Amino acid sequence: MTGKDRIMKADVFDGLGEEQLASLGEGIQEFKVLKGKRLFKEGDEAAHLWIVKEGQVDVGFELPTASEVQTLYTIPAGKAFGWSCFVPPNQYRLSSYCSSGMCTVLRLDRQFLLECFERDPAMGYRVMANLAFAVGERFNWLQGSATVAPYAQVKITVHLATCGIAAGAREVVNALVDEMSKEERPHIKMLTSGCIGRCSTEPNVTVQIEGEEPVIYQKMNGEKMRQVFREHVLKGVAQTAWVLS
Amino acid sequence: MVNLDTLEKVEVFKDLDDRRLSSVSECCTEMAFQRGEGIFKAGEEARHLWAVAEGRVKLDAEPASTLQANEVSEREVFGWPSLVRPHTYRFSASCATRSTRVIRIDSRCLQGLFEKDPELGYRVMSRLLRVMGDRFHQLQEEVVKRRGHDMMHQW
Repeated sequence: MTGKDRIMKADVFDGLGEEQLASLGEGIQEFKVLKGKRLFKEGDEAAHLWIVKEGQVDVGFELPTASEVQTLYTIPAGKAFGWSCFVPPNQYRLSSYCSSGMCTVLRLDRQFLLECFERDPAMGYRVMANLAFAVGERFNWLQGSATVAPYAQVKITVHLATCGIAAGAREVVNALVDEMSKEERPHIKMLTSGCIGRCSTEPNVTVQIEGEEPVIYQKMNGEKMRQVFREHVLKGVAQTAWVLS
Repeated sequence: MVNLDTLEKVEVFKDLDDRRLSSVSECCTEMAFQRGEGIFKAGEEARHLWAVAEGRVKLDAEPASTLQANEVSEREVFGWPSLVRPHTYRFSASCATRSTRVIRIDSRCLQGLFEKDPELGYRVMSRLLRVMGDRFHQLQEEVVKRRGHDMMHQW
């Protein structure tokens, strides 16, 4: 496959002619990387523009106290990233990682690109206009996501003492784990604890939504747990019929 | 038409020669606003790129948010969605000082110049990308700080 073929599907090169794509193709470097592999780190010199050819790349930040990268955006195939290479001081502001099983990424050296643009300003204009569009799109998305109020933290405690287990608390845990796995809500945590001293009402479950009074549910089973999760945890409507008085 | 001395100070037109500045000035109109007066509203069709010649302009995000409510000073541009699809302003702009002189630049006229003179297009869009990049990075920093703070203080 020629360099031209490799980059012609990238959004940032939309509108370029065959010859222009061919000249850009000469500077292309292609890499295959496995899931979790870092492509660049926040603070690195932004010396390249990157394009996802296959797979997807997560761009995010790292916290000293957390092992996982906090993803801000996912870059799908055909999209460019790392445009900080054109914005002084030319430093990547976030880290990027392959987030699919395998990623194929293309990399173009900033200096090579700038030389191409100086020789062919029509190419430079088209690429800069495409990049401006890409940044604008991401800006709008980021602004939209930033204005949405963050979710309240939620703790769901299943009381798993012997009495609770005997009454069917494992079924409740399994149903809760299943419901949580369907939702990508890192603000919802499941905990287990001992008996609350009301063995006759087991299995008991406490739902604690940040800023609200905890609600203790009684005589729970898998089906009730699913409903509490969907209605109370996700929508904020407590299921009063099962609340421990 | 706008005076070339004023135009050449605008961040995205820096270092353009007089011939190119003259052609750009044909797309420009100078306007004055009083404190509190609106220049455009979020959600409106973005037909103009704007530059502050004197005074300051306030930008407010809608829906209201503490994020990215900021001011634009002399020589800086605002209203970049006029050059980027879908050509809709994301912020409302209003005059932040007793009086403000702004340059209103017809985006369609400007893009027509870019098509005829791609080198002009390349120079201006490169500088505009820097402006957008800087503002994007400011927004991103705020989002990262806010998310990081939330995570560090999870209970």
